[in-house]
Amino acid sequence: MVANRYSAQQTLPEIGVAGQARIASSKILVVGCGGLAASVLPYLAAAGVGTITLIDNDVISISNLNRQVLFTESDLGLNKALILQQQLEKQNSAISIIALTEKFDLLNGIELAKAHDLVIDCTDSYSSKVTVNYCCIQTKTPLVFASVLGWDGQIALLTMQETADPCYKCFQKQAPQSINNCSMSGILGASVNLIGSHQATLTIQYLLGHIHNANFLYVFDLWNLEQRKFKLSKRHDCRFHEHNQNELNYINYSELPKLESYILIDIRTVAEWEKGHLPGAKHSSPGKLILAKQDYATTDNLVIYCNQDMLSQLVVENLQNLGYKAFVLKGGYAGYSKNV
Amino acid sequence: MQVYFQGFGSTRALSGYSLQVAEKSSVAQVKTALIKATQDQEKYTGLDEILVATAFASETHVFDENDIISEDTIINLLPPVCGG
Repeated sequence: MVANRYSAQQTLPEIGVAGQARIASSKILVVGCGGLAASVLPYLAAAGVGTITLIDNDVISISNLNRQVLFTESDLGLNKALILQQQLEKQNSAISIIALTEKFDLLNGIELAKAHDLVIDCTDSYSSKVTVNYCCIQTKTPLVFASVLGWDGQIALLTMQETADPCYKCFQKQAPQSINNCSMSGILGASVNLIGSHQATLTIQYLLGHIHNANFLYVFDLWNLEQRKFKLSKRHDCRFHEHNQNELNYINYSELPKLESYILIDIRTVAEWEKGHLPGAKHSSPGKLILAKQDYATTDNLVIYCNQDMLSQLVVENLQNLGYKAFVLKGGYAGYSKNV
Repeated sequence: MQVYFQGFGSTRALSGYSLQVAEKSSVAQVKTALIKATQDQEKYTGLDEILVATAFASETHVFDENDIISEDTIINLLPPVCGG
């Protein structure tokens, strides 16, 4: 074999020329550009992953530098995704790196997940992980999840192809009321790197079609350098899976008068709202609605709608978990417009 | 029936802890029993909140909360890890 940039990995029988071509034609999305991303990305760029999209609205701060090792002191205050893009382009000019400086959320997440072969979760909070997981389930996009804190790490490749496949919420049903983060529990850069490099390995294995490590939770004790793995299954009552969504409260537009009173809330974008909305509706962003829930009493009937049902299902699930009487308006605004 | 616990991460303090539970208890019942048994002990302060969100696993797989434990066993406690 003539030596080329990738010949060392192409020599592996599990890769070869055909495998390298698969890697080169792959499109992956990396959500979050902090410590995990700084560990995962150099290996993916070096391996020749054809298109890598990065998304993060955060900027680099001094306390990031112990583990986000692709950043320098001169990058302080700059957007993380843009700086990683510059670094990776220097590393491998033959691949395409796209940087998005916005927050990954339910409004952009579905389309972004759909446009990629695989999503890598490099976020650092429970709520972000739940959002990434939701977008992957809705679009059947495989997800490589990882998390690291203190001396503990977790990784899983979740295939998300069948309804019976497990998701992140199947094993992390809820977060503790007060969960620590990196600044509270502490974190060592080298520990993040170890988890991130495993995350890169799982990603490349999936791109090559090797899924023998899929749907297991790998648990790392980084103090004692021990690793365990546990098979994951779909949780029987996981609402994130299609066939369990009937546990949410649904209501048709024509049934609204049956409620004694209700508050109709539109969670689409402001631009969509301005083009037209249901009579009597209020507008709110999904995040604002969940965070500003104290504006409503737990006895209020909150009827939530989006364009169809996707966003509203997630918001209603969150509100129901918080003890609110929330309903998904079946068919959303699209369903209403069709019938008016 | 005796259940032995192996803790990971923030539940590590429970490694070696054991509990007597009724025959054929569900995982959810074992979780409730563990929270009740430990919540008033000073050395486990704050763990009850973490245990609520912790996944319980056998030596090979993560349990569903409806799964039934039918014999003496080891349960691994896998708390949420949210950082990066």
